[in-house]
Amino acid sequence: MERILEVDNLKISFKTQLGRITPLDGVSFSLSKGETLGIVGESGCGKTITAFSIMRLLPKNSFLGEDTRIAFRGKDISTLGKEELQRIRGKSISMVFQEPMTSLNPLYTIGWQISEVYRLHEGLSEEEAMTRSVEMLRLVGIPEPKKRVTEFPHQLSGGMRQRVMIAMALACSPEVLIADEPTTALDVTIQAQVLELMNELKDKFSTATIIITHDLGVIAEMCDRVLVMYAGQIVESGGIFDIFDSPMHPYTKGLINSIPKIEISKKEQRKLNVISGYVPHPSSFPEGCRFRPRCSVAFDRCLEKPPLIDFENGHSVRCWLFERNDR
Amino acid sequence: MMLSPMVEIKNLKKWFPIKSGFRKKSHLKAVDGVDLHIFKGETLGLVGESGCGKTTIGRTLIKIYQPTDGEFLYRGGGSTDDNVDIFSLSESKMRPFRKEIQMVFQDPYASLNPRMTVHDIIAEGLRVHSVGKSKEERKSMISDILEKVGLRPEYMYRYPHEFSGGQRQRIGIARSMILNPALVICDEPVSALDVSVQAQVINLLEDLKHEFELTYLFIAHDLAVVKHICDRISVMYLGKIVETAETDELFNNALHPYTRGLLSSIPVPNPHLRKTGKREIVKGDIPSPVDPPDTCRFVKRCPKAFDRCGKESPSLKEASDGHFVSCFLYGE
Amino acid sequence: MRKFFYKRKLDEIEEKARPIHINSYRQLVWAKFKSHKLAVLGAVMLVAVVIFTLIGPLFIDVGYEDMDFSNLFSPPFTEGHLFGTDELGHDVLVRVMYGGRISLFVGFASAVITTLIGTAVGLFSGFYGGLVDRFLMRFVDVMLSIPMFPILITLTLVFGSGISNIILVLTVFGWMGVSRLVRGLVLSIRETEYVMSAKAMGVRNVRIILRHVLPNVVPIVIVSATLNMSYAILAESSLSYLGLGIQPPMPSWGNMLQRAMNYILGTTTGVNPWWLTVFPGFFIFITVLNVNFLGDGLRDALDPKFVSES
Repeated sequence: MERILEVDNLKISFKTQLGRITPLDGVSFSLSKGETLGIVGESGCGKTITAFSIMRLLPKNSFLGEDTRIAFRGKDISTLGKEELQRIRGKSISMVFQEPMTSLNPLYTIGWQISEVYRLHEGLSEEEAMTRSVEMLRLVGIPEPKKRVTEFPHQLSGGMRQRVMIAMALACSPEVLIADEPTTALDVTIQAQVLELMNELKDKFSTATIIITHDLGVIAEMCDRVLVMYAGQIVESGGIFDIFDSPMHPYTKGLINSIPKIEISKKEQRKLNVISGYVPHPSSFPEGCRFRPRCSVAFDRCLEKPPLIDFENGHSVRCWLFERNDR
Repeated sequence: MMLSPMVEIKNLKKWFPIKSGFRKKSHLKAVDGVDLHIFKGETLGLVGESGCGKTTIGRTLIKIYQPTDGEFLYRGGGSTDDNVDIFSLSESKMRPFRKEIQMVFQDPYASLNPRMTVHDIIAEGLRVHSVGKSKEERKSMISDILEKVGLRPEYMYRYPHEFSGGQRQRIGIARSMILNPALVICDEPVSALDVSVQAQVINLLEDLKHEFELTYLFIAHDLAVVKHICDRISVMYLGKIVETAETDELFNNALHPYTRGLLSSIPVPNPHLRKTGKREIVKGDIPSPVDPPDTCRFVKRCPKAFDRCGKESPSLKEASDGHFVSCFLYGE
Repeated sequence: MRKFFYKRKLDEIEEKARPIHINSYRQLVWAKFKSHKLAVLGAVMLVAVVIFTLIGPLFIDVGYEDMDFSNLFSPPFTEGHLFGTDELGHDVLVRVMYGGRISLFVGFASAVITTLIGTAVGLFSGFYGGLVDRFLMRFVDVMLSIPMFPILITLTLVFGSGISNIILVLTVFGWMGVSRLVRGLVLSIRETEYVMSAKAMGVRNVRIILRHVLPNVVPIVIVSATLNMSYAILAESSLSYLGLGIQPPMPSWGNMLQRAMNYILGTTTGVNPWWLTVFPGFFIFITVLNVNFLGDGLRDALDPKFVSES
């Protein structure tokens, strides 16, 4: 499978009033054409920063690591200048954000905002761009698209707005779509609609997608492969079935077990397995294995930083429990 | 013979007036005629999506909002046969009941006054209800409750911002539990927490329930959590209850089309149980609760709607033992 | 779309001390304040100015009314007159110092009083809402639509000038902005879950206002007070400049400017006494500027959301 995006040793630091913080510490992964990759983790794990850094949407006080490389179609985009980056954003790599309320400009009509993408990247005239926008709205399932293009964001519901965002993101048939918590702010029934939509479009456009979320249910529904992140690092990665059926890392196991199981009856519900402790703040990540303070099976080796250990079936884990001497 | 319920809510309405035009009075009917009952010792779940009114119910019961109509009959923890309509009481007469009926709030970052120490936050309840005869006694009560909720008592002189979300939620829980309440209204107590922390707080709430013999009204939107913790569940849509049943009965045998759609929409964290393409998707958007028409509230999105649904509004009727549903498909 | 960063060796970034463990809310506020360089500068400069006006005269031999006839319109650095003298031989330096006392006092007093009144009005209005709110806010609207300066002029003509009258007049017209600000804050604080929790607990309204609302309003109010102070100083200067404020021989920065205007284009001796306007004007300028810096810094330091990337 052709690798369309390759992120190598992604390291991001921020300079703040509290000192230097490195919330992302050496994240590497690749995305193949047509694949849906899920990045799952809790707050502070760095998943959103990962997404934003691919598109370089980070604030001024952020710094990229020296050995970091982000390759899109083989070419390193982390060193691109403003102009070239602008050409990629929205056209080859686009993004859908979490908050549909604030991701659309309240002062411009929906039509204007979508057609902006066409005008910018495909050089279409206002009229042509508007026609394409109407088509796009129809494609994402918005009823009466001709009427909707003249409406403003506040006239639309949350679910509709998210569909508009998806329309904008897919307008130029990008090769990579990054969706950052695309349905977190939506109600369950609306979320189901949007996920169905994303699945349909994924097939239609064969876009490689990265879905970032904390919701394991969404991951299970949508993804082919998963990266589990904790405290700025990938702690486990693999195919969707491998991860859910045979999770290896204690954190992954703990996470899966701490979710109440809706598939079993009320009578069968058992006390939830908790992961003790709290998610560490980026300014004070623990030494050695970052999960060690919360891990029920930690041992002395864990005081050292574990590397990511790969297995043949594409399953990788960052844990000394799986150290193999026969490499 | 069923025991009389501890809480009986009859025809609860909460309408918010909206200014529109000179004469025309518009209302946001957040809660529009809700009947509920809660038995002592049970956990009743109240679920629904945004705009359904579940949070408003919680806040109205505790009189943060004044009810527009309805009765809140409360048969106190003392389990006498007399019950009192909390809504008919004046603020000063209601005050003693505030000790028994407590609330746990949703947002751990906004439910604690950032300028008060943990000690003061928890002590406030003690002081208002004159519990504890001396400062020392109160301090030791606070120490005890902090330990019970899993926090170190030494932290009582710290400020909320020094704690994580999960810890703050525990402080909020401590604040409610220290008064030894009978009924605790939990308003989305774990929605704002990380997944790994949610489990901790859910377990804590369950432990406290058993230890203090509490009764919970558990308001939430996450059905997996609700299934785990609740004995019975009421599903709300646009200010009305559409279905109430025991937990397993609701999940296995949901009657109302909205409930069925809701249950079908939930993504299960198990890739073998993927429902993509096989769902009973609920089409359309959640309508606005402003001046809703006098028809079945779900009619525009219902896959099974027929004429009657667009003309009248159904009421909650018992379809089978303990299973209530508000839908013309099921009799009337 | 200006968010770009460049690859750098991580060591090149100035590494500050390992993240400080902030213990109390006060430490956090202090740390944020300290990092705001202009605010610290503002505070230091203001303290310097206050010391200058209060202690300064002890080091000067002349009083503000003393007239040195041998030195009329003397420029700065004349013997015994660092800032020069005016048309009556008054020493400008000592007059700037005494004038500073007046201006700072007037500024401070009006700031405090307007803040107190405005906060009280805003608290009641915002918390109780309903008719009280509507009535108070209409009253504020009325007060705001009264043109201040003509009224000030009229009032000072009727009641006479003098420090207390100026303060009175400035406060009567200065509290409205604060009240609106406070009202807005109170409206949002009222909806927070911690206030709801207090209500649900049975805490009485008065206590809610004092214990929950007020402490959360105070920081913003302090900031508003500092800005109010700079406004009051300028207003006093303007009033004095119009001849309505402090009357000579008592100096104020404003009336010094006013007197100097008569001579600024040249005196009978052909001298352009620029020092008569530059010194008082300069002090007004740095006082107001630094009060503003201080206010900015306080606002940022006290805003709980303003810690970058935390």
